[in-house]
Amino acid sequence: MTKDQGMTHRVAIVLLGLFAAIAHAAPEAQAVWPTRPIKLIVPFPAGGPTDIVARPFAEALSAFLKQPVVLENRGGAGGTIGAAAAAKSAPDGYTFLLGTVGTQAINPALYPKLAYNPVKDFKTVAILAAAPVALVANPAVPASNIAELAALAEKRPLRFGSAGNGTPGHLTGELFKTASGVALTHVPYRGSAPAAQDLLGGHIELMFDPLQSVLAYVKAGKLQALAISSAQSVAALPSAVTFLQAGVKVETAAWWGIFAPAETPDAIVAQFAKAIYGVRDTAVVKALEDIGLLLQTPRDSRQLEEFLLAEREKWGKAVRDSGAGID
Amino acid sequence: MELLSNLSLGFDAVLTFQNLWYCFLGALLGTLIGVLPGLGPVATIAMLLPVTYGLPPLSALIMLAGIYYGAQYGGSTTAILVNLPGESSSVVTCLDGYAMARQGRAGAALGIAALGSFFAGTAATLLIAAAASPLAEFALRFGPAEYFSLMFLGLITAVALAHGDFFKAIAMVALGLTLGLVGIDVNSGVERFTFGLPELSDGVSFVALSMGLFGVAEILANLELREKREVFTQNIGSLLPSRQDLRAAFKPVLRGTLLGSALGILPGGGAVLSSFTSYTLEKRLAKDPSRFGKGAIEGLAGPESANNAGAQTSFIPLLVMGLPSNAVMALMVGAMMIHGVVPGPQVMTERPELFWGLIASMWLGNFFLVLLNLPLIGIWVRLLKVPYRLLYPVVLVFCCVGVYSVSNSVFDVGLALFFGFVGYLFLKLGCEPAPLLLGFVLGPMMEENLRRAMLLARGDASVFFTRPISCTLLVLCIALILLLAWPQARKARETAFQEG
Repeated sequence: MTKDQGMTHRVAIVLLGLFAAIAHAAPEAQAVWPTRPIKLIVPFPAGGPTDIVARPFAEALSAFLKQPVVLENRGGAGGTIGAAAAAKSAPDGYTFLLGTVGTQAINPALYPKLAYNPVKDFKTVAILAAAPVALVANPAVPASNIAELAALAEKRPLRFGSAGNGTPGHLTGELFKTASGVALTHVPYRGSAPAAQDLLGGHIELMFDPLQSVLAYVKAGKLQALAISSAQSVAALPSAVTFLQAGVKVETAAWWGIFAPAETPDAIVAQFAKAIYGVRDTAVVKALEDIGLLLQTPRDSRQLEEFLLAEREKWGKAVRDSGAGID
Repeated sequence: MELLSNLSLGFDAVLTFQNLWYCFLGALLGTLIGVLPGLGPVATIAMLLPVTYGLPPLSALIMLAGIYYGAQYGGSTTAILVNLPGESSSVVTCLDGYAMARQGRAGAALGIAALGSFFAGTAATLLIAAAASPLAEFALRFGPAEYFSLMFLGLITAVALAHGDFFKAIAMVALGLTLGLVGIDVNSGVERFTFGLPELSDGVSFVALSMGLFGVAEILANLELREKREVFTQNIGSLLPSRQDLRAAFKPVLRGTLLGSALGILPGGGAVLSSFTSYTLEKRLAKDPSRFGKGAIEGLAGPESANNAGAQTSFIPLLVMGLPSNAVMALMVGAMMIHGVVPGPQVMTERPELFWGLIASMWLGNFFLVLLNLPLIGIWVRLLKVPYRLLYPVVLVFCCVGVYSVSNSVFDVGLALFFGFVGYLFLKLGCEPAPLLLGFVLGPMMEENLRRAMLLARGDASVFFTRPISCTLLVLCIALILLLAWPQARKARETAFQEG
């Protein structure tokens, strides 16, 4: 351990020397941002849904800003480890967090002791993308819409799977139960894939999960989508009905955004936000729409703050109502 | 005919210059780390995972798979020449392989090991190609109740086949199960044994645990040894085994291949169990068991074929069910997810070129391994002349890099070092770490599926016996437990490993 620190120390001295040299060479460095690679902390493992959103944006932003945007996957504890690390990072405009609905809105209600404060420790840069939560059923379930599902639930017990306790899928399921009065039993899984497998095999009847994880099965006819949780229908699955259209007051989305440590200069935050809106129409980012994501998200800072406030309130209530808290 | 068209689809996908190169590279790297004591496929694959991010998924998987079965081959070379198992599955190879080398028949031993492995690899590849489709159909019928019973069988098998003391094996499994409890419980969302550390809320890192118990502990234990190794480089003898050797090895190779293929499919199976079981079987079938440990060719040919067949068929549960049967397969799941491939029954239909390409690459990888191993033995042996005082620090650094790279966590590196010391104590106490690791991997999955099955059945425990697949598996478990309790079987099991 001490050896390790010694090494870090030496590396740090070398790096400091380098930075000093750079600072001398470019006295107006403050005005020019970015002058070195930007680190984006992804608080979930590589290959997961959050990583899938992060990679195309990182690629497009690297090209736009002419500086590499490097992803650092620091998974664990529902994203709290990575989010806490980002909150404690130097606010120099070179470290950002890829925050999620989990790290910024659900976790404060879920974890009694959170190592970071999603409101005080961060400045919001931009919301990147959102995904409606889909209610999907095994094709053998004799219900093709919400009304038929409600009737079926009167006759026999129905179970719904989710990617785990406190995930957007689970909580949307709980919100649906409250709003519709339909009785369902929640069966938590360790991630989307095992839940989807049990649903395909008919061991559970239903599942609530962000659309992009189940879209392939729906398109292949292996699952049927009963409703989606967005306000409007989505381009990737135009036939899907929303909960609101079906008369159930449920409107939720899983979402991903970029957040900066609280003391980061406003000028850099604004510049980064501009870059993010600048890359929205690039092909790599547009491809996210094909997998079921929504790229139309709130933009000006007042709308953003209102959105985040409403989200924290909505999910916080869902956590408390479902009794999903972790202790 | 479908088998042929599928295989040709696979070979079409694999026979590009890039894929052949990664297949070769994987086999080469695997052989290298197999030859080096301490560094196993788990550490290597974990380390090389980030390197494969930029590759197309098929190339990445081909390379990682090549490392895995390459390590089985490389391990035998060191075991035969210097009595050092480069790999845990080549522990039994030391027994008779090294004895053959001392009799000046190192060439024959290496030749039999290579040819037996190649035969087993070819047979296992064909088996995967032929049986994977029906198995995938079957896999969707596995619900939580079936998975629970399957995991239970895996755990019992792990205890039954672990070598050394029976009660120590049970104790190690129990310890593994306990370690597996750490973290947030999936069903209730309650934190267990995390001591308020957020780093532990997803459980103990598997890579940190395995790297500590195997890698770091091995290095610590070797520090005690004086550098006094006999290396049989001068007299390797003819590489080709005699006609008489081949005749004696033929049946053990066939039996080893069958046994290895079957055990590889079971969760908790794989190369290590296969080689130990094959050795037990050969010894029991031999007319003169006293020759074993003194250079019996059957004791080399059987386990060598079995470990390679097992290494390969352990891909079946991964490819058709998304269920990792051992540590290496668990890492392969991670590798597939990174490339956007969710392991499960749908891989075969949605990504046929990937599925069959990987299978075709297994045979090619085995072919490369024969090409590599026979002529390059001289070079491998020279590598072993690197003094331990230089080799071990390098290996230790690699281990730390591997652990850190999994989730960029210094905590996990500390955890690996901690488990290194624990593993050293285990070695001193004569406790096998393998059952612990299996308990650690299978335990949480078993608990999760048990509780999920109960939730789905609304608390009715009879579900495990009314569902036919689950019931069959549980009956097998009971049979195995009875066999273990039968004193004579236990005695046979113990004498089989006394030389070890």
